[in-house]
Amino acid sequence: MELTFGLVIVTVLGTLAGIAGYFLMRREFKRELEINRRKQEELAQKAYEMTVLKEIGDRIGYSLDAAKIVEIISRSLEQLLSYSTVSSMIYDSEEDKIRFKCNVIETVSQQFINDVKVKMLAAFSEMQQVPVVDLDVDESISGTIVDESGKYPLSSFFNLPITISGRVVGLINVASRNSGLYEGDDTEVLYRIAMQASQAVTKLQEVLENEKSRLSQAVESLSDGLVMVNSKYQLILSNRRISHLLQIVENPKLFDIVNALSGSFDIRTKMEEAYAKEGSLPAQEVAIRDKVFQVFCSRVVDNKGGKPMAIVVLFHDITDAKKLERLRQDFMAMMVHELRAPLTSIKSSVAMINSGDVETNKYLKTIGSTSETMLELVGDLLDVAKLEAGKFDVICNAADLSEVVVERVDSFRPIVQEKRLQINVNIEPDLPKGWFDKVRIKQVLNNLLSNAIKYTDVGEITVSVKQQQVGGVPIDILVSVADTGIGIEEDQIEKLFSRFGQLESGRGNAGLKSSGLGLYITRKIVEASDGKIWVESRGEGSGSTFNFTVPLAQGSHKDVSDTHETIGNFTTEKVAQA
Amino acid sequence: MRLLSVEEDYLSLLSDLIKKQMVMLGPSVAISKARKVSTLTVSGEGSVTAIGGDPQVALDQLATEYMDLSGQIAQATLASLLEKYPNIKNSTGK
Repeated sequence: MELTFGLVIVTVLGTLAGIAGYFLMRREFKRELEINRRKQEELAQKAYEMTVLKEIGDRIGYSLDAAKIVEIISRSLEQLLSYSTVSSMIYDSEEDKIRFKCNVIETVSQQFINDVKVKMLAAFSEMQQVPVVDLDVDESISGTIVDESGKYPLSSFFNLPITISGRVVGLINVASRNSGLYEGDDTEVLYRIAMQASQAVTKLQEVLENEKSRLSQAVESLSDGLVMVNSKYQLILSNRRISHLLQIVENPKLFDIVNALSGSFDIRTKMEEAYAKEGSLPAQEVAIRDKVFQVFCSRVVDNKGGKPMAIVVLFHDITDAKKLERLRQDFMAMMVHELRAPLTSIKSSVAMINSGDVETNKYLKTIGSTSETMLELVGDLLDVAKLEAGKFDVICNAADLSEVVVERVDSFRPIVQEKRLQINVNIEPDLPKGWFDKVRIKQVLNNLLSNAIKYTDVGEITVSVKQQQVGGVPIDILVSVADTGIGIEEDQIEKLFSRFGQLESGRGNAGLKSSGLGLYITRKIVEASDGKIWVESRGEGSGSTFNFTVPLAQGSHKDVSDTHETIGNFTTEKVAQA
Repeated sequence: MRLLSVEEDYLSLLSDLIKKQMVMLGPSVAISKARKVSTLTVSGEGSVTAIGGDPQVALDQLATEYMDLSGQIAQATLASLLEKYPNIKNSTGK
């Protein structure tokens, strides 16, 4: 009996233990299941966050524009939760304004929108820890038509702050006319997304700030003054050197710079020109107080679209260089003058001497021709000295160009015959009068003809004069001097008209004496006469044609009288310094 | 003038912090976050009516909850509030 009872007790206890064990295991199993479910949910939420964040990241790109970032996050909210309005608030520091945008998804009243705006302003004030007033709020509402009945009050909302480098740059508000919303984890996800987006942008900002700092240090170490403005002509960068050069305060405003340059350099107009033009403007020399600057102005474009973003103005102090240059010019002018008098004396004296002895006369002739060459060289140097000093006058009048051409060609005929060449002149009949300086154009023709003869050993030289027309309307007179001489290689053509161009181009290597200044002087004369000069050649050994144009007396210059007054008012032009 | 006890200081500071967060982030989010601190009893208006444990621990937890949402903004808000409560230390360490 006792044994039976004992067995029953053991069986019951065993059963109870089994049942308890089952329930314990079941509970443990359920707990494990619950943990797994939560983990899965967390993982799903993380994956979701990552997806949304990536999407936002892709859309933001490398932008640091707060308005764009806020806009992109606002638009991404549609896929995350329901709301009646989504609004953004950005502080525009450039215009000292708050920009409030509200996108209405569900019909709401104006009061609803006003309440959203007030809540956002309060939040903005609290975050900035300074009161933000409602005075300068630029408001824009878009989306569904606003309900005027006012039956939908603001019942739920939350604000998402967007920060960059710890600074609140914008605020997003999500609001609904339904109550009891935005309390759950779904809303918190958005904060995490916003924070991660802010962190990513902050990192980008830091990278850019570092780059900017490096650039600033480089700009600061420049020996030139530098100013940079944005597309709205607001100063974004200036270095200490510009303050020093212009004798203005450090960290100046654009006004200080404009004011310091006032009367000397219209920086605003130059910046506008640079903004509108591709590449850099030609460097300009500007005298400011007792200094001379070379000013370079160019626009900065973005890498992608080539759209102008900023304008850089660089002031390079050339005061000392100018002083040295002036000294050199004065010295050269003085030397040229000193050389010319004795050379003229030698040439004249030699011309008067006739020894009667053939051998002696031969030496005298050599002395004469050498002194003539040296006088020409000295003449060229004197002209260049005048050009550099801005004292080279070109005084234009109405005159007959064909007469000048014929006279010049005739003067070269003996040398042409001596070289057994042929010279032809083709002048268009009824050629109208040109507008030019007779003396200077003779100088141009002398240079072109002497070059043509000098560089041609066999063949002919042809001088043509004709009107140029565009659409049947005469525009100017074209003079061409063509030869069948040594020709010019294409890559040498540009150098020809520069100072000492022949030395650069190698044309002087033809074994012929020349200063190399003739074509430089020629170009300056033609350009000062409002004409153009250029050369054509099919290459070495194929001859060359030098062309230049002379404006018509009538048309481009209405008053063709060559009175002193007209000359004084219009035609006297000092050739620009080389 | 009655001097506030340290506990009253904590109640007042915690309430101020929640109310400021209600203005900044919105009432639902701010209160929902505050109620995640189990030792706090928070009213619908954002007032803390009771602290069930160490008030400094509760403050740290609440600050962490808000910093999870708005980072430096919450930190700056707490720092500015703490200036009014010299008896309470900022141990968030952030």
